[in-house]
Amino acid sequence: MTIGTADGSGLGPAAGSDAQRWSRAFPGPTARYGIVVEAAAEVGVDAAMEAEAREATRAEVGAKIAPATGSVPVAVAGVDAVGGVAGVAGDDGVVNAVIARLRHAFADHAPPLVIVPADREVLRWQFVDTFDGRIHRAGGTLAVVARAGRRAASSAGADGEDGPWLLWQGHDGQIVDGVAWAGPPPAFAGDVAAAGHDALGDRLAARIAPRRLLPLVSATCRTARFHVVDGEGKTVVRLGVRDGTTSNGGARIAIAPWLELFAVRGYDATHAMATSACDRLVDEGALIDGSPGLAVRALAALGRKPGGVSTKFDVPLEPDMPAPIAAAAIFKALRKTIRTTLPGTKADLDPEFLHDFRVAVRRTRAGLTLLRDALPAPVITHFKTEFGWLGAATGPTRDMDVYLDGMAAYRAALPPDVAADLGPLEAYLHTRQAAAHDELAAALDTPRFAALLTDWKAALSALKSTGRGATPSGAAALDAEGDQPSAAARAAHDSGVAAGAVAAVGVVGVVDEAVEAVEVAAPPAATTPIAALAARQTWRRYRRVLSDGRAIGAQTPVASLHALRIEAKKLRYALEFFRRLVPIEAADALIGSLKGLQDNLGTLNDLGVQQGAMRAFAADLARRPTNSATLLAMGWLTAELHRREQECRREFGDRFRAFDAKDNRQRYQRLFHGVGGQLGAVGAGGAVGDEVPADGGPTDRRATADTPASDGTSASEGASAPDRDGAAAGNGGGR
Amino acid sequence: MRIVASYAIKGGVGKTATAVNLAWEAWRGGATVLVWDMDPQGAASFYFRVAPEVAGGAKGLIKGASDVAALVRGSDFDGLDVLPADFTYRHLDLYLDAAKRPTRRLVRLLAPLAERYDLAILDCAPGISLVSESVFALADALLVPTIPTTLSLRTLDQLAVHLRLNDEGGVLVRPFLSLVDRRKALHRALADAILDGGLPTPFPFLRTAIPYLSAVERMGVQRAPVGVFAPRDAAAAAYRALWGEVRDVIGAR
Repeated sequence: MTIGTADGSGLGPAAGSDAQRWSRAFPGPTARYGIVVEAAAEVGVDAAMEAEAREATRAEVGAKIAPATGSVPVAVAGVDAVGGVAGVAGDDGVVNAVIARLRHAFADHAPPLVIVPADREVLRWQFVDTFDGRIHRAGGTLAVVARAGRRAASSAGADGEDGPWLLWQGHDGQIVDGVAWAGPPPAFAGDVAAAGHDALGDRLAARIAPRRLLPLVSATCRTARFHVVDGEGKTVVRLGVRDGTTSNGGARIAIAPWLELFAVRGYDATHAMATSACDRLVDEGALIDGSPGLAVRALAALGRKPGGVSTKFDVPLEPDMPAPIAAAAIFKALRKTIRTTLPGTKADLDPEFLHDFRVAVRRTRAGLTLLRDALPAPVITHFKTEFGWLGAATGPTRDMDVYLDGMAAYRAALPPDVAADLGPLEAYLHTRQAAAHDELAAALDTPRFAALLTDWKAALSALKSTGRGATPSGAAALDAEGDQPSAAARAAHDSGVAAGAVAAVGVVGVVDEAVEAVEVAAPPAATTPIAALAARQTWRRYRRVLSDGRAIGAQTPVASLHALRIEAKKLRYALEFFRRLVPIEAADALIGSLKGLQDNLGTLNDLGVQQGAMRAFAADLARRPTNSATLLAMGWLTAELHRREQECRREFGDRFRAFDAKDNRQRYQRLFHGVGGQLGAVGAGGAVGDEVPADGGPTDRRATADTPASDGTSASEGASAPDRDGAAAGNGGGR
Repeated sequence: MRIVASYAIKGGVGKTATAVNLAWEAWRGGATVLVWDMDPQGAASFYFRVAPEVAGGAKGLIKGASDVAALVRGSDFDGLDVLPADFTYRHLDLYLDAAKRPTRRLVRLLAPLAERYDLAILDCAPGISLVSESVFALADALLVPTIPTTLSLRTLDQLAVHLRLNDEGGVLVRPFLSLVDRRKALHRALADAILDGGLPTPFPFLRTAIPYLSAVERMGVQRAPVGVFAPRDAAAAAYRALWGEVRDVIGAR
């Protein structure tokens, strides 16, 4: 009878599953040690020891391996196989020296254990990861790996282990999942599923979707394997000495060698002995306890680190930092994100580049409002216009990205046969997305955009200089002004190149004005510590969300909820900008409670917008030859979206009550309210620290109504577009 | 986990060589394989260079006191493991007899290993005993190496009678020709008669015949499956073909 669930598929004529073959071809190490090359070389010089090692290994090869492989001289075959990289990565001297040391360490063991060479292999690894290093953060590496050169004669080679493979490997070297994979590495999780590997595809999608896999590092890794055998000639522990090469585009760069141990089932005691022998070599300085895997070692050889580029906003601020300095730091971080995500946005590598790009632009615009007291007025005016233009330029592409991303959810919302009719809608969205992206890429190629980046940089350096001379005292503020001409001159110089470019499109006057503004106008809060400004602004945003939210009842028009969504978003930006000014747990608790509210408002908005979009898409599709089934399916979907919108609306009350909870209110009060607030107190001794304006008044409100929704981008920010940036709130927080 | 027993009433017919070489072929094909060396002589353990000893012995195994997973030893082939023999297996009958529902005992014994292996090959001791009766109930198929001689064929009839009398008709019994020496007229005549159907047999024979070859005997010197040290030898080819047939018999997809 058959025991267990295995259905015999592992015995099939196709010779086992992928999992069986990769698990055998890539056994997980039980311990890893870095090899100290100098120490190894030192021993390597000990010719006698090395000769002894060679002699002994040959002898054992004769006794055990050679007959088994039809007297193929195993070691020689291995050397042939690695010929391609020899002389660059490590050398046999290191391998022999390490093995000689280990032989020495094992010599005392009773019954005697000897180390015999088994085989060698050379594998080429192409590691990939997303731009932001999601695979690394998920705890591993993803690579296409293929055997380089011929396989050395080996007694242990099962059929079909040569790959190539697509392997997901944990940081500890254990293979988590893998599939046979020919060709270049996949670009998206969907490619893996499309190749028939649903399990790995789903697994990857959960970690990286919708991001694209980009080349991380490639490396050639060679392994010299040895077996530790007992008196019966039985392998009781396996060893692998690995090293390799990587490339920085030109020269080959050696990857330092390391040692891996592999246990054989049922020989735990010997394995423990082997690890303690290695530990002694650690004490002697010949080995280093613990080693990262090939990818991290290859990156290290290139002077790089794993983990990708973070677009997470986290700017360290000090409470008594002058506001302009703090503002400059915040804007500079955002500008950096804009720059790092720009190439991927232009190339449309994946939707997240544009998303991160947009979030940084939007934060910048929010910052121009939130931090306005720290900025000269003309700077605000100019850059609000320019970043507003940029935000608007990115909108249409993002809209289509969001709809495309939602296709799976749309399908899931409908009965399967109806869902199948949505195909033409998806094709239509793809066409629209491609057209929108073409326009976006063109906008990003304009002199206007180039000038924006350059001028913004110049303005930020000028801003930093404004603040640098400033201290919380009035006298120092004067000094700060005295500091300005040089800064402005520098700024003017920096923007000179851009000014030339801008002239070509006839907006040079704007640039001049901006630069000039830096020269003549000190920002109103040049000497205010950032803490005071932060307290004032955050408190004001908070009060507004609170009062607007409390005014919402069951009969309130949905437009009020959309207005509240925008207010909540502004509060969110304030909390994130100033997160590092208050105890981090407190800030994160506030962000968390706000997020619950935002998710609800964002979803509500999305569902409303999507219903409108479906109607517009349907109208458009109806003008082309479109199957009526598709239009019917879209109608069905629209009804479903409406149902969910109602549901979401009903949930609002609970979400808002959670935000309006007593402890949350006290936390805001404690941290941000006036001079009594933790942050406000920092500014209390300063020149303008006491000037906390009455919050929430109608006049004040109008003055700050220059929200993103009202400066020329209402089409993309108001209730007519999906909450594109809020869409990320569900999977990683509003960035 | 599929379970296959290499079994014969008669001794010296190539049971252990069958178990070891089929296990290796299955492993080479990609399967994870466990060989349980049930013969107290420990020949399969010897071939795999594994010490023929089991902590707790037969008693611990049958009474369920031993953690069977901890008794398994990896062979030199990663993914082909051995549950070694122990000299106390000579008393396996006694302990099984003392146990309630002996067959259930063996199932429970192997259960912890069921998810780890695609295939278990039991290398049985010769004879008919309570152990072999339990194996009949446990195995998906009995592979019976059969030398084309009168005595060897006679034991097949005995097995058939035994299975019928004991209502053990459920197990697939698949004899195959073993140690066929083409130089001997009787071997040739019987082998041909069996394979072309001229001689009625109680069970259908597998088509592959394992010839009498020195490579099989050299396993004792090399202490490895023939495919390892003589991959191009006719013996290796014969076991490969035999595994192909067995794989079909046990219903692998």
